[in-house]
Amino acid sequence: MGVTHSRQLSDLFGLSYSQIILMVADDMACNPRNPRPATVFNNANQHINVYGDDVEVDYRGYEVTVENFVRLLTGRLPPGTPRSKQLLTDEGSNVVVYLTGHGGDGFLKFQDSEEWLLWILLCRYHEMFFMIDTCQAASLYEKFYSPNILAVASSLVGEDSLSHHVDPAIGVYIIDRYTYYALDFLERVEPDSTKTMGEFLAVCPKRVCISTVGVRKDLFRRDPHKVLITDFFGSLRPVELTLSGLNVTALSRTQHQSRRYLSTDSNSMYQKELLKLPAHKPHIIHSDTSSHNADIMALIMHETFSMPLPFDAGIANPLVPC
Amino acid sequence: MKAVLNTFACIVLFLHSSFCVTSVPSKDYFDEELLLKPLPSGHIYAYFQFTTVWDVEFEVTSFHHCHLFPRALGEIVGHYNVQELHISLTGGLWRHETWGYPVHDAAPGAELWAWFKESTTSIDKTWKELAGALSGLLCASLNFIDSSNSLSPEFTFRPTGIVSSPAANSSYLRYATLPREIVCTENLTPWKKLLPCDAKKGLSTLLNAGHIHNTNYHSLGLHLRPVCRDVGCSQMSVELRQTVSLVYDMVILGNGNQDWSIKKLFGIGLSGACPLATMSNIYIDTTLNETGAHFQLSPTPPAIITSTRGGYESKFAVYDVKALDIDGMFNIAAFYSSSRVYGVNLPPVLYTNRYIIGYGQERGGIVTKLHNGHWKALDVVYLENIPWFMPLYLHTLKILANGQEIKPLILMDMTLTGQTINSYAYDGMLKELRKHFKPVRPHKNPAEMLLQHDKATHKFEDSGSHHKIWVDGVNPSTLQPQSSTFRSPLVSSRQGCYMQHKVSD
Repeated sequence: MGVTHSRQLSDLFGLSYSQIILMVADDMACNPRNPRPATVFNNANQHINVYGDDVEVDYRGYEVTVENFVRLLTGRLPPGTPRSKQLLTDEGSNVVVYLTGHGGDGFLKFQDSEEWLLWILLCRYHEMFFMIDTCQAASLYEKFYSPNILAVASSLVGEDSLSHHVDPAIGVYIIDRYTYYALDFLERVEPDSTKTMGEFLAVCPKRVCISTVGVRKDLFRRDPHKVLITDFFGSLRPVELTLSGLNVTALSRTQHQSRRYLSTDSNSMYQKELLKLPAHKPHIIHSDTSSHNADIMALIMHETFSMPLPFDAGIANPLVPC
Repeated sequence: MKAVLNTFACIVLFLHSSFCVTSVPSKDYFDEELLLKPLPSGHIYAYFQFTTVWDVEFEVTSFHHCHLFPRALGEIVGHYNVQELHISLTGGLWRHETWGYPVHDAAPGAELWAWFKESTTSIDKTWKELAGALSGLLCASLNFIDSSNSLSPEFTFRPTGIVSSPAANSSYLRYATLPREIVCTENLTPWKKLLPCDAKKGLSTLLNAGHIHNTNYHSLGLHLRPVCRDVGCSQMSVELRQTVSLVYDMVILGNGNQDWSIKKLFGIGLSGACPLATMSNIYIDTTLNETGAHFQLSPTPPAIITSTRGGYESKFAVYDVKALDIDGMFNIAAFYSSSRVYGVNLPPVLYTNRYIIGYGQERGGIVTKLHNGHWKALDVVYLENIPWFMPLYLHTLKILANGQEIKPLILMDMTLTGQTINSYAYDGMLKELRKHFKPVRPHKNPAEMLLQHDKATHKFEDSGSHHKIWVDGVNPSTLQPQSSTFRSPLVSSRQGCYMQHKVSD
């Protein structure tokens, strides 16, 4: 049900599918066993069809492999790969990775024949929010050592993640507990929300999740309680059209880098500047890794804070391990 | 002297730039059409056709500035030197025997074929990259197309648009199918974005995923070709046809009621024509009205046209959506006077069915039956792409018609490309066999074609190894004789019509 969540998130924050890279291994919507073709609902009451008429799946079926996932993140793609299948982030991109599927201690299952192991993951980003909903999910962020990653997992090592409820019409558990409560929180967030990541990390206490939600903040340099949720999920930026030209002076390389690495509150600074610039919408990626299990999904989202200024082109972006 | 030259250069530049600014934009137009045809079996066939014609040279630079033509597609075909492009994404199986021929036939799953321009150097590489680019455009796994599943058939395909030389050189053609490709909303969404009005206005507003993927058969198509601009064919235009074929089962959708309407089929009425469209017509085939169950159209059609094709006359009720002056939602409904009546089903000239025989790993067999509904013998061109996991024994090929064995006229294009593909497969074994031959004169009794094959074992990490296997459909084609019952409308009558259809297992 990976589509479910990315679709809702995109709805909530006005993201278009061009900013989401969606990977879905299963054809759930048009599967002949689906009694309501071309629809996937967020809960058993069928409130919202999350597989709406504007859905675009970038990697589907047997394209969802560990190799393609790693190639997507590293940007090492075969020639002729269309833009919709490329991450295209840079050092100003805030990336949200959401993964769900069957997993275990240190792995997440892809298709029926391979597993994804985290230390082969590289991409360009400014800050990353990593969410994973699977059994023993915390094992998947333990090996992170790169800066500026905030990670949340639906369960600690040794714990199972549990699903929320079953849809009797199709006989399948349609949503996991952590994802259900995370969505419940995000549904009430507006694009101009003042809610913080700190609040979001506490959405699923053990009494409702049954598993213990794991959080890793040590790599993240800011206090999650002071980081707006819209730094990662927000996307709506006011656009001011002006006829007067904007004076843009190129920063020197050192100035640029110092801002990138030393500023503790770079996002808000970028945002402030972006308000003056043509809107550069955030970018989201999303992937659903496993097949044949309707309660499985993975989602990656990313948000671009890149400065569309000419000097960006001249600077080689370092490849930052995720 | 230098100063003079400089001035001259400035003038030239100025002239050039002013020419660019004031040059007349090339002419283009967009037509949208919907054909609704009740089939004798009680199904409803809905066929949408959106045609964009652009009077422009088919060059890379032409696609930098597009008006009605989708630039996203134009850039791809320009960049990859495409002469002609055909894509279809199909779910379900077209039942030729009971439904006759569709306007556009399509293989199950994804089908892609393209003619490249003669200036193209590395066609295999360009073909692979073209498929990759199209996979991004249409959200389909067309990037799985490579040399292992692509063909250059010599007889089956001819360019449908104009060509520089009359002899088609099949080395510029590539054809591939992905039989297990699924088709769902994510394909329809980008497909609709290529239309000038998107799905915001016009006939495309009727294309809603929930009412397309609940059908027995649905097929999205995209056909690009160069056409003549005028009768003399002195200049070229580019034609893009976007098509949707749908077959609705009224037994399921109608709850026992045979009546149908636009709203019932598509879940929504029509709010008007696309403002960018030159023509916006709805045709309803009323031919069956006289022989089968009688139905009354509401509102009464403004015009009825008759089309004669090969001795067969069809009648169409025509609604010009632009002239209708729609206020609110417009609906066309058909009310039947009696309860369910099925029409007489005349099988089409040529149809095929196929099945697997044999048992065990080593005694496989595949039988194809070619049914000839015509009064005399037909020449058939037959194309089949056999996947690597069905290694064939070509010496076992046997074609029987009326108990007699017949020999194919030409047996062509036996290409083994196993060595270049799938290194995980089995050395020394034929991994792929392409057969393409010109055989059979089937008679009233079906001609039976039998081929034996092994059943290769999949390794567990092969894609789809835990699923059933998918084999490409066959693609028989024939020269349609003049006096036959070819009932596909929207195509003008001709002396003989080259006809293809695609069958899956």
